[in-house]
Amino acid sequence: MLPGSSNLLEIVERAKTGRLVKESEFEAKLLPNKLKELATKHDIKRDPEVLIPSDDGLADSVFEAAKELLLDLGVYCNDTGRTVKITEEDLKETLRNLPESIILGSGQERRELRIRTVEDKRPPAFVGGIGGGICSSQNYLNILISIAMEPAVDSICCGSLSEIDGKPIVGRSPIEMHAAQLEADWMRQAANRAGRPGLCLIGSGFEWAAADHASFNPDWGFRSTDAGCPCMIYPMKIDFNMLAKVKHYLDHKMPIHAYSDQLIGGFTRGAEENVISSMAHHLANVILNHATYQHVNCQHIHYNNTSNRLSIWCHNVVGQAIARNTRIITTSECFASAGPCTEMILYEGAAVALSVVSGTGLGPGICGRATKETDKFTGLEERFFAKAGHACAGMKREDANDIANQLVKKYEHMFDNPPPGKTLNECYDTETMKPTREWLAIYGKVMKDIGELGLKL
Amino acid sequence: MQSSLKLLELTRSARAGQLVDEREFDVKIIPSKLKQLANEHGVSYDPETPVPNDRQLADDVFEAACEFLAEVGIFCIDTQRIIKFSENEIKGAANSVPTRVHVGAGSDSREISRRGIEDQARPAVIGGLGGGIVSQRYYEDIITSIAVEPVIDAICGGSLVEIEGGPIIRDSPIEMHAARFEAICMRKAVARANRPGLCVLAGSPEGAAAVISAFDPQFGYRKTDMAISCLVYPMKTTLNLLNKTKHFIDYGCPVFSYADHLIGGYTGGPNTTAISMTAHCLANQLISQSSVQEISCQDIRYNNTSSRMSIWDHSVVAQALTRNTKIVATSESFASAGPCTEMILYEAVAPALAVVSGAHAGPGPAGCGTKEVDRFTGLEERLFGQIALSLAGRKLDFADHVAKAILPKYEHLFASPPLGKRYHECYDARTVTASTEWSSILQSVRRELEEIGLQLDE
Amino acid sequence: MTGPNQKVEIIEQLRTSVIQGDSNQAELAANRALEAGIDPLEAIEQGLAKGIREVGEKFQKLDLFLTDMIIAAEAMTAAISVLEKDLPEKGTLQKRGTVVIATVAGDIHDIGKNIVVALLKANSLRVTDLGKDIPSRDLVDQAESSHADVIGLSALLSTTMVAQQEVLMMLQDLRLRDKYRVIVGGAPVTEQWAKQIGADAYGKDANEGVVKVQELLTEKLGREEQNASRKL
Repeated sequence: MLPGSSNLLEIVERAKTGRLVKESEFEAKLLPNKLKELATKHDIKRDPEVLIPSDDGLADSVFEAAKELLLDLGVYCNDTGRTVKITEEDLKETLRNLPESIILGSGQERRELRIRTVEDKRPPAFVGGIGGGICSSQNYLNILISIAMEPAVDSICCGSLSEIDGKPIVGRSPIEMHAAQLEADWMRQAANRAGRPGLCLIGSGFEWAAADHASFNPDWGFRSTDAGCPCMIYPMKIDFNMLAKVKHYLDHKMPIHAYSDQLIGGFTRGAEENVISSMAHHLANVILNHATYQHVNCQHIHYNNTSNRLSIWCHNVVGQAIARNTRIITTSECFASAGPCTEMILYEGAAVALSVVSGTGLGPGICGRATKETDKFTGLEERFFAKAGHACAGMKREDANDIANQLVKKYEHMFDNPPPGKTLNECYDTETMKPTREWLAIYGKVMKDIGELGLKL
Repeated sequence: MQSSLKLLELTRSARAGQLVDEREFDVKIIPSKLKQLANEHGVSYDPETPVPNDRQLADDVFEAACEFLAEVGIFCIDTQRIIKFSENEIKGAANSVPTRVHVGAGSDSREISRRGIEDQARPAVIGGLGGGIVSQRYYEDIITSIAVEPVIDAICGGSLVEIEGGPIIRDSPIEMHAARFEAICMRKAVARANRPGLCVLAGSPEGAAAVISAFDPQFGYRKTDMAISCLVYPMKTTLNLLNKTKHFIDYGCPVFSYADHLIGGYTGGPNTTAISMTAHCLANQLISQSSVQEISCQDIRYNNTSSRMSIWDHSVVAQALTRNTKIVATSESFASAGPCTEMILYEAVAPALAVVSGAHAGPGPAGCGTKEVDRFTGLEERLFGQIALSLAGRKLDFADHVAKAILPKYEHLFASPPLGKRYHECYDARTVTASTEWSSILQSVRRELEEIGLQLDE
Repeated sequence: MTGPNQKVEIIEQLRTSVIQGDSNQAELAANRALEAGIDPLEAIEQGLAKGIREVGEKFQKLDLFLTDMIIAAEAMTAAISVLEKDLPEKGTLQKRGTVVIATVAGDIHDIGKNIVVALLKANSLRVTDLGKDIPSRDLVDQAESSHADVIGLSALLSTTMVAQQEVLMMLQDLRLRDKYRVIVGGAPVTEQWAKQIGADAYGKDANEGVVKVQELLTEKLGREEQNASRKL
């Protein structure tokens, strides 16, 4: 493939000339069947007792299976209804050219993200933020400030504005552009308020390319030291709108934080198939979306969280597959079922943080209520998430597995009816930007609890 | 005062307005209303007087246009609903426009001000392709050939017909690449012409994402350029257009609006089209908060603005606007013939005549109705500019005399005009000079024009 | 006349063809049922509907996945289209209600909608899935031509959920509002939003969506029956 953004023109060309496939056929038949076949062929099996496997062979098998999936099926383009072929050469060349580290942010907030290994002793990088969670226009800025104020946050990921001043945001209109601009402005303001003007901002939260582009501005918007945020569309799809965003990021020479949320129980079937799919998405993100770094997110189709057994297994297996076979930098995203100001959200975060032992970094997260309730995000759970992740650095996988099992038992019975928790306004003093006593007390209790489980924060 | 927040209000209006069937809007509502208003206000076309000297006619066209816009509104294609404006809003917007706009930078900084009928003030000359189709290969050369002409005050780009050997796909990285290429190309061209500050009319790509990505002070369009927005003929807008306009205003550059009309199309004959064109200018003011507006009434058969009817429309609309609003208007030139022909030079006279009616000149001339690749050069632009400048301070009756003298030279050729030559066939790109043949044609036509009474500078 | 064993066997074939997601098998079994003179409604209830319910239950436990649900629903649809020919009035199945569902204009995300569709079909409802990124006017036109009872609108982006409001406004302007019950759902959609725009119901997730759709159908169809009998 051609280097740089010219490669995008080649991708479009492949999308125009690739194999014609019905979308429903691709996602409901070709992909799941292939995943099933590969899981069997490569003997990818999940032991229900093990959340964090110590099986290097399994990780390597997942990587091989993912490569086969990508080379065989390619990626589906929504705009053309054809598949984009990925060649062995594309894969080799891309993986060969991946750097060992990347730079985010500027000035005092300049951060170097390095690749991590399995059981890496170094503390993980932390992508703080809301992971696209729904925020009201009234509270968005405060939520971002509360997170930006947490020193452990290395970069901050946007949320998703639900309205502006109580009025709906009309997609692909000046209103969406305006919303994207507001969001960028608020993210910059939050970083400035926290005294961290160079903090890397990951945005925008708006899918539409024009809105994303309109939020770039040297004075108030996104800059080239921030990170763009494209994604692979689940499952294994791209579209021209996304590639247009990538082009803009490349032209601005900025890092690209790509993602590809998976759904365990969805088109990519069960946990065993999801790890193959997630790994393949990571590879595709690097080749097509020029991802500089990524995050793993395998959600449960019914609970929409990443704190359940299946998701934890997936995050750890994928993390190990990536760390052992590539130089891809990835983090582990936490979607929790509970909301802020509950014990459960912190236990959930700790369980997901353990994937650090599998070679991932942290974040985005902790995103409470699986991001689907407005304004249920605060800085304190992010603080906790960071501490838990740092405490895991250097831990053995077997030890992490024991802790994970104990943690999950504390909350998984509540998935059908998790504690909703509180909004930022209800558990933070928004004048001082400090958590309430209640929230701090919960935090203290869980810290102690987890310490007793073997995770000393 | 410009504010991009107005675009948000417009979006909300576009969602809440009356639901109308689009076909009904095009073929029934628009034509019947125009016809009714033309009758009520006594607006009629006289083919024997291509440049009317009739203040009442101009005022009648204006009043009819205000009523037309107030009653019909603007149709939003995305929502299939009408955005409505009151007559007060319409007249208010038309009269709260700044009467001058500053464009360009350094020695190419220009002030484009509102002109009156028979105004002595020098008109601005906007050269360029008016969106005409160009190849990637010759884009920069063609623009350079225009930019080197000292008479040009601003320059309008074209539309790339392909990029990197392939078609441009809307809303894709290809379109973005094309937009970026175009912006870089325009900057390079004006730099090559030793006029780095020359104002560029920017924003030909369709998709908002592509356009936005090309507005960049480092490599692309600057705040001293003008961003192009438009309405869709007839009386329509889209969210995509509103999106682009929002960005232009946020970016801080002046907005250049257009709304190409078709005489013989939905808006009927020249009289009703004049009302509609005026109404579109008023609508553009409300929607795009324009600094400069283009008048462009093309003959539906020939896609030119050099026909008798177009001359009449451009003159009447320019007079209507200058007598009743503060809108700064310019008269676009689309010719049927191509470069290296006498006809394109004769045709250049026609839209320039609107200078006497209060307009500025350009963009253009764009040859072959803009529909033949690379048929644009700086030489026809030079003459167009010289003609426009020579008309400053002249009388309407003189303009009418010139129109009557020039039309017989070419209007019989409309059905089969000479396509002339492509840029590289009549220009030396290395030296940016016209071929001997082309230069001779120019000299010959200049002499004829001087015989008609035009006093052209060198 | 079919023997009892043969009837059981055919109905079992209907059930397993759905569980296996085998549309060919399902059609075959449906044709056999007609030939054997089995009451089509019984074939649907005892065979197809049982099969799809089983698949639904397994999906809830994640013993089966979304794709299994989809192909099971396809198999069921294939069989029903055969069995429908023999129903006393074609509208008998339609009496259960018709749902038209789509992801709204500008939104290409449809997995949530697909889950709902699969579950609705699993509950033996007639569903017309229009797909994704459907312009509001097209959606309304389709609801009209399908004689829908319920319109389901899915949106996954905060910037597209406004199209749900557009559809409702359009129904109002076209004087069609009373003809339909409208349910909305999707990640950014809340109960408050549903009330604000005048939707009849809100589905927090796929399961709740299905329950609410059934409630809406029961209410609407019940009311229509009542009105019909008053006229008589």
